[in-house]
Amino acid sequence: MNDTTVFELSGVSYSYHNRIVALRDVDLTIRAGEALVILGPNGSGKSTLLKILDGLYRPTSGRLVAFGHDITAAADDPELGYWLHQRVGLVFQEPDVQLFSPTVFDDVAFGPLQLGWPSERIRQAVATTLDELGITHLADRAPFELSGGEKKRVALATVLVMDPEVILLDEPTANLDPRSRAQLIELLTELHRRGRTLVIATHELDLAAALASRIVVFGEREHRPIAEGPPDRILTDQKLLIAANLVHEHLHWHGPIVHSHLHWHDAEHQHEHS
Amino acid sequence: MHIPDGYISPATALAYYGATLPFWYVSTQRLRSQLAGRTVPALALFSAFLFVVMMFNVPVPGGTTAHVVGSVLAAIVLGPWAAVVATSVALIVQALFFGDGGILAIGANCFILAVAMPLVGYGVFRLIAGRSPLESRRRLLAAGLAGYVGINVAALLVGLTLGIQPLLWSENGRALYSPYGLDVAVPAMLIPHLTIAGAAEAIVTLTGLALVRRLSPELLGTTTSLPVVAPSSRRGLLILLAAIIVLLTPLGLVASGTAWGEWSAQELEQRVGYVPSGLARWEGWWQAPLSGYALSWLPADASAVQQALAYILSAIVGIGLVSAVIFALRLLVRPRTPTHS
Amino acid sequence: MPRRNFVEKTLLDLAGAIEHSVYAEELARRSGLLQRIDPRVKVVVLGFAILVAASLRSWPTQVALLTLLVALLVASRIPPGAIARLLFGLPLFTLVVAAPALILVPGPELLRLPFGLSVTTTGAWSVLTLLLRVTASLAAASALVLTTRWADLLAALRAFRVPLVFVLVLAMAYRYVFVLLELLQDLLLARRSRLLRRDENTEQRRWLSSALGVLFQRSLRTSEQVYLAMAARGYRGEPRTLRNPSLAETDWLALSLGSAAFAALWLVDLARL
Repeated sequence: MNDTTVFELSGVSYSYHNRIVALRDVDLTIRAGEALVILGPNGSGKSTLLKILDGLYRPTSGRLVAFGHDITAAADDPELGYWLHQRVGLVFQEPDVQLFSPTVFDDVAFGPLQLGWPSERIRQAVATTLDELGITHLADRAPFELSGGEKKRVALATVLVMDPEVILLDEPTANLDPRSRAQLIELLTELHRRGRTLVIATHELDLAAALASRIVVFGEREHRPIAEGPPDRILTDQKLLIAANLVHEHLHWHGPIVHSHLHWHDAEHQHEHS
Repeated sequence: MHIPDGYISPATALAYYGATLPFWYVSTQRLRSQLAGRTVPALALFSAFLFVVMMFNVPVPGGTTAHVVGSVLAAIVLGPWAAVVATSVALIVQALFFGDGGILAIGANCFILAVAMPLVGYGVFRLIAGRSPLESRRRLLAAGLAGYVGINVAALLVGLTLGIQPLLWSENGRALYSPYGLDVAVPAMLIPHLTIAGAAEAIVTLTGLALVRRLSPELLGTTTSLPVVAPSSRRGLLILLAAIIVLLTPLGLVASGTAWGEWSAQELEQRVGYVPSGLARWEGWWQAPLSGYALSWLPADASAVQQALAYILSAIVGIGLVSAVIFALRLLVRPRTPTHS
Repeated sequence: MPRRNFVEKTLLDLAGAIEHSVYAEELARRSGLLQRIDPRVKVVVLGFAILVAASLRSWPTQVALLTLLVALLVASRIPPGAIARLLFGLPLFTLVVAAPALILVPGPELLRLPFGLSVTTTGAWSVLTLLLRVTASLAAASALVLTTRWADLLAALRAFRVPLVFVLVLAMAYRYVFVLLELLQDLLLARRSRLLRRDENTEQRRWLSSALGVLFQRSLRTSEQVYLAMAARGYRGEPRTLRNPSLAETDWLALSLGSAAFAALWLVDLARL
């Protein structure tokens, strides 16, 4: 694992319509190759943070550096945004907003088309990505014909096809049944193993336990990090978790579960390891 | 309310396409500059929203229900240009996908429901609302009335469009398209719209505006305060109108049965009073191929347009036959090898 | 029988629309005759058929056209039941609408009715002509729409130089119609499950306006999120698509033969004037 900095946020704040505060004076460093879990309850500003990291929202104040370039203004500068989006991909919480094309194929091909790849390379890349995610059979389906788990995978495919160095994921396991969830966690683990930088926003402790190499906890009133550290330390700190509204006193968490989910393999999946 | 295919003649349908195209062009151009990168998703969601509004069965006082169009509400909330595009797209999706309204009739339906209705309704709204404050009651009443007037203008246009069909396209007393004259078609369209459908449209326009005002006031602040017809674009509008008239005139002439081709230079002189010199020069040229290869089996009184049409059609048949023969020959000659298609 | 209220009516309409599109998608995936032909060719040939349907004047050619189109539908594995529903729905409505024309169109008497009314021959011919025309137009439109997947139809429009912005808006609108229809369905079902007594007209309208509001807000929010999702994948306001593959030999044959058949019908019709 190398130690290069991917993102450097200093004093970043964001508020909607200049009234509703989402982030307050955030300082954060994200390093290449880590799997950073942003842990926080609903409304603590996690989603906003991911959109700022992807250059979609412009911070109300503060400075944002990615890969050594100041990208604070990326949201208002299409060329800067374009440069950033070749290296950073964002998987939205709601797959319905990410799957806007008539078919799965069109959706996965959308990103590469915007990057101006030649047609043959696009077809090749789409085929490979669908294959790796085991969804080749969905290629000419319309989005409304897909199940929740399938939608999530397609949404991930639309980002993976562009081969980004950093993948930002917003509540990736929300509304997934247990099997789809296990499959997704396994897939993300594999991506991390292959050296991708992952930034995952969630309020689910077991997801953090399964994936994180480092955890940053966001407070719901503070709208910024209130704790930071390796998973074994953060996830065992009951006081912190209760204070951050991540567990409830009467319905709480008994330490990190050690990778106990069922593993899932099928023919398509094997290609990932080649 | 949507005209299906078969009720209006192709000439009427094409004339409506001609009339709608400039509005589509102008509105997409304007929206592109207004909405920049957001154009596509914004228009798509507006259209989807209108589509869903058209699915509503709205309860009307008296216990019945009626469907609404919603394009006047769209014009008031989103601005007239967005209303034109969003309603058109909703109507096209309905026609292509759900068989609501004809395909050839898309031009007519779009002109009536997506151009005339929102623009007239918007005009009525601006006229009555005047400079009254955004939260005033008057604006709501203006919206309701605008919806009512808009839908009735649309109904009137549908009535007129259907009503002229038997006048212009009949053969020995037999109507070729919609059979009712203006005296039946216009009241048949207007009476239900002046009462039930008009009430439903007024209700939806009024409550819709009240709601947007409460939930997303920032939306009204920006779109309605935009000068919609700026001085410079007023000229654009005039040019547009002129273009439409120029476009409609020849189509109208075809429509009325006296086809272009029938005018000899002499006839034209009687009608217009002079012969454009260009036409006189070309007359011999363009009549030659027709007279040279007259189709003997066409009726003797077939007009030049019909003859030209017959030529084009025969050409299409000819190409079809030739390609069929070539294809058949190739199938016979080619060795049978499995091909991946 | 209690009259269905607007909630029930709208729910039925919604279910019908969703079911229709799922079914249409299924039909378009079958391996029939028209499904195998390139969508661009279908748009040209069947678009031409719609124009021919609108132009024919004599009943024999109209009947011939209708027969040809129904044969195409059958060859494309559209179930007979679906074809029948298609060919009796709108035409039946047309028959009801046009029935008074039997009497209203002036002309020689064909059949005497009570109250001094009579059916005229011209009236009967008018109704028959309209009926055949509407049915044939519908059959042609269905042959195009039911055998072509929406995505392919859009790609075909793109091939005809319809502006890309317009095609994209059309594609995306159709996409989100489903999201909003499902939302509306949930709203209506939630209302129905809470409904204990017959509701008043004013209350109905109040509910209607709040449902409109929820839908509208959802549309606004979704459009902004979709824009961000597009931007996140490198969209800079200039839409792009993949080029369509070139036409196969059979497509060219379908194009020329199909157009020829419809053109021939029109020619015969012209000759019979």
